[in-house]
Amino acid sequence: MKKYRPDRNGLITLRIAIFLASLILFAVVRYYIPVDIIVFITTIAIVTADIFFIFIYLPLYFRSLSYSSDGIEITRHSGVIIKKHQTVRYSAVQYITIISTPFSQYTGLNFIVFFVYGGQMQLAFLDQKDAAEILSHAEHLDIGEV
Amino acid sequence: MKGLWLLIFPLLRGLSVIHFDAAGLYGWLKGAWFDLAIVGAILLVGYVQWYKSRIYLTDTSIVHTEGIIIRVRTAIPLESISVATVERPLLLIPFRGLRFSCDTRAGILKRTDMKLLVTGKVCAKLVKRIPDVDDKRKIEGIAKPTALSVLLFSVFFSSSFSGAIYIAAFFFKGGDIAYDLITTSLNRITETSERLSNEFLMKIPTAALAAGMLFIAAWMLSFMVNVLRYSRFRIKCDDDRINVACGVINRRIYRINSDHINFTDLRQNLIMKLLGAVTVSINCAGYGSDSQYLPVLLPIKMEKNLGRGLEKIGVFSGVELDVKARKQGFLNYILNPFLLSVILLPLSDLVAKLFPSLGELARFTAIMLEIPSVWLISVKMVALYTSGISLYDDKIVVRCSKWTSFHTVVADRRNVVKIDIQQSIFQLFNGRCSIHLWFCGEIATRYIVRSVSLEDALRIASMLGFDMRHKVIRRR
Repeated sequence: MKKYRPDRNGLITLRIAIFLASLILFAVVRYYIPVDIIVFITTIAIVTADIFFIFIYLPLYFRSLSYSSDGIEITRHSGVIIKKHQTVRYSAVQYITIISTPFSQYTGLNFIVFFVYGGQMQLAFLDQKDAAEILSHAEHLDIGEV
Repeated sequence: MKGLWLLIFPLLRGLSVIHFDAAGLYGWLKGAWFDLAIVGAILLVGYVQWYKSRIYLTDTSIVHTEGIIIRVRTAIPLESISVATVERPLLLIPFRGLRFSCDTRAGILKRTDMKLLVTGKVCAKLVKRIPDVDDKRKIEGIAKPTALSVLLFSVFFSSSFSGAIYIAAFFFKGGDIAYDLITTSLNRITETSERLSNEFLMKIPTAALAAGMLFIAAWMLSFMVNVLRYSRFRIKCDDDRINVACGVINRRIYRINSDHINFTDLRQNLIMKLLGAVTVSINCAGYGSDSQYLPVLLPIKMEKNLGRGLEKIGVFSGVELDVKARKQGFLNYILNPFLLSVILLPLSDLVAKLFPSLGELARFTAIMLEIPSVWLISVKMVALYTSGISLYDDKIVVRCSKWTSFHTVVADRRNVVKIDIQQSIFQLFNGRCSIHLWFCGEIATRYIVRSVSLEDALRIASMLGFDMRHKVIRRR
């Protein structure tokens, strides 16, 4: 049984993305609604949300997220408050979707979605090598040259 | 890019005010340059997206990559494909474009798993990889649907409701031009109905007559759309595959994997039931999964003439029921429509007393609603005599009714994924129950047989591998 952890670069990327999105939101509000009190309230709300996500929720989420595979089935362990364990047999996977971004080896933004009867399993923030290893277990899914 | 055609409405509005001379054109461009730039950007992004998307055919899979910045790669093994569809939309004919889509049994919603906009050449390559009906093993004796059967099917399965949805969709999407068009039409309808009402139908309120005419118009629209969709209906099959083609303007061709069919449904309404005619539908991921198309296999056919050609997928008639609905439980079937029909006229009288100005309309509405409620009572009475369950070999046959339609569902026993046995307080004393059977699919489908003996229901459940006896007895 091999255990896979999410790529820590994914956490950093998400933190940067949230910070940039907040800056843009702040700029938009300040430009289009130049009322001091509204800008002030919006800033407080944005900063609070940022602190919550960047320093509390996302680290907990990444800590709770892991995958374990024995070559026959894969289990996703997740959940910050409510723990969830979801298992899928590789042989039951009907089809697969792989989502990646430019420089995903540095950003950790590699995702795999396994589609099975009546549902799906998402494997998020995988290291590129881990993603390739997990995909190699699903032998009946020929994804061609990546 | 799907809704791009909607841009035609602001464009038409813009063109309607333009003066076709140099100054007019310049003035128009000066005002509309930003809108045009946006349209250009949309077109450019759409083109780049299409240009960057790639389709790979491996030995066992179809692989599609798309996206400019976020790359999405989807790989569907050929053996997982339940239905592959090729469509030639009218709008794409000038570009020689075709729409190829395929669906598997995976996923939680009735969403098509892969949709591709391709050229004829690429489509031919894709289709070549999807197994088709083998002409050497083709099942003979499947009657070709006639023009009459398609017409009758369109009559029975057209509805004012869906027609109204088309009008509403046009209304919402079409902007001001569509609004003007529909308003003018409505005014005409109102004027005509007012005239008709004054001249011939003195007792019918104008508003009700206008609503009726609107519904008839909506039904006609729905009927015409159905005729266009299901005309030139052709079906051929062998033991493993079914090939269906239909449509005049938007011709669609389906390749269906028979093993992936969840169940077959022989549908009838009351008229069809009395005449012995059926419509054969199937539940299979990707076939009729978009709400516009019905998953029909044989549009209209006399039940006695179904033949043995499609027996493998459960299309046959004359199966004796092992378990039938108990006639003593007729209230389970007709109580609701009966109560509705009884309450309507007193309710209209009450409305007339409280609001005298609405009295005539309330009376008319009540009489109009009496018709479907009496119809529903008739349907449920027939359902009482025809509902039941039968098990043979590895198949299950369920005969029941849903609203105003009758269903004969045939499926492999293993496709029954859940059973509920429900008893009301009264049924606890007379030993009857309702059995709810859930069949697998992208969305599990439920069929209910009411008023069967509890013993029979438990026996059926046990034969399907659900041991519920001790649970039900213990609860009681």
